[in-house]
Amino acid sequence: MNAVDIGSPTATRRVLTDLGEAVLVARARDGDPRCFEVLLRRHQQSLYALAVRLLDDRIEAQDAVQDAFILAWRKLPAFRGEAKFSTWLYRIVTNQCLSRLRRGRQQQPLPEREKQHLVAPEDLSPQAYVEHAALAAALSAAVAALPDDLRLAWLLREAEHRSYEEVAAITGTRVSTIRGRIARARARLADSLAEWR
Amino acid sequence: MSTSPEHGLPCGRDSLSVWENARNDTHDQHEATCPYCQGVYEQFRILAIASDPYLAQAITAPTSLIATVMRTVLTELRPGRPLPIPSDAGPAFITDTALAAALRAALDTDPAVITHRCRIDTVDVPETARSAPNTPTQQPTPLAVQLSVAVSYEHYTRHGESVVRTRVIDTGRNLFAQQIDTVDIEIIDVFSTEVNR
Repeated sequence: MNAVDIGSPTATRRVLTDLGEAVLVARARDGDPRCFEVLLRRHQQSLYALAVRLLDDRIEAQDAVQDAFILAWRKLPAFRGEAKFSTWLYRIVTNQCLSRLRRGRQQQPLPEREKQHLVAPEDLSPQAYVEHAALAAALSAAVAALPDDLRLAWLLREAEHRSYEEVAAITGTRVSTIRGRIARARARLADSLAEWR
Repeated sequence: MSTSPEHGLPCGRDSLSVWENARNDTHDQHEATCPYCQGVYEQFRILAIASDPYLAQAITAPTSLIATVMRTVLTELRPGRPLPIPSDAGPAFITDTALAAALRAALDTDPAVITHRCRIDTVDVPETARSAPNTPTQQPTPLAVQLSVAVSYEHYTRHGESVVRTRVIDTGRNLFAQQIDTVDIEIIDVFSTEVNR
């Protein structure tokens, strides 16, 4: 029998982090917390960054993502796979963020120092770097000033590179609605940057 | 030039698509020369320039995020049903979720099988055949195991199910003295072992 035929166990157990998303989701649904943790680690960076940009507050974003992940664990047995797991998780996180925004909690703006973690091309001159940083800060302020629904749609499209269909699935709206929101968001952002033209 | 983002351009194109094409550098000859499309390009040009440094800002999730979530998850583990383990030294039990984890772990040593779900049910036995609960010599409850698995198409044989079934039964008996009467196996996917190497 070949060394990897069924029934030929190896001394090494399969590493969980090597497993595909469908396997991890199935095991997590069965109550395996280790598989759930692997899933969270795969998505935490992009979801946290999305929450920071949505809420404009790192502490609030951390709380929102943590609450969303715990809620996901509680709701996981009911997850039937109608949507991709990542779409389902994005929906929970964005709902948490929007809920916090709606509650109208007093927001603590990002300290300016935190906003300036700019990744600029290495060949930029000091002057160009400063201009890049200022432009990024201006856009950051413009994004923060967008209405919640426009900001969410724009961020999912531009920062998360989600398709219009995925953005619609995450936000629970129609694709045509999402296209309109993204178009309006772009128009408002472009207007707010008019002085830079 | 007025270019309402929610309406088509006078040339027949819609501004959202023109923007996407400009962003992806996939514009066609029409968009490269059409004054209406060029108007959209100009309107959003600065936004495209600003988006790159804004979206490239480093936003890293705090290391405590997942740890905090998992602390809560582990306190909310679904307890599962207790299954008696025969013991002369007093009552002992294993939950069905723990047994399922053990069975998955046993199968995880086989590179030709990936277990998705593992569900355990008790098999009804006649009242007269049951032992009194919580007695030192309590008998194991007959179990039925339902597995959903993916198998390697290079190494799956017509004996594969039998080998998987035997390993599940042996693991339940040898590790936890459980009597697994039936093992239903559903093959829900196939994969290439060669790709995973």
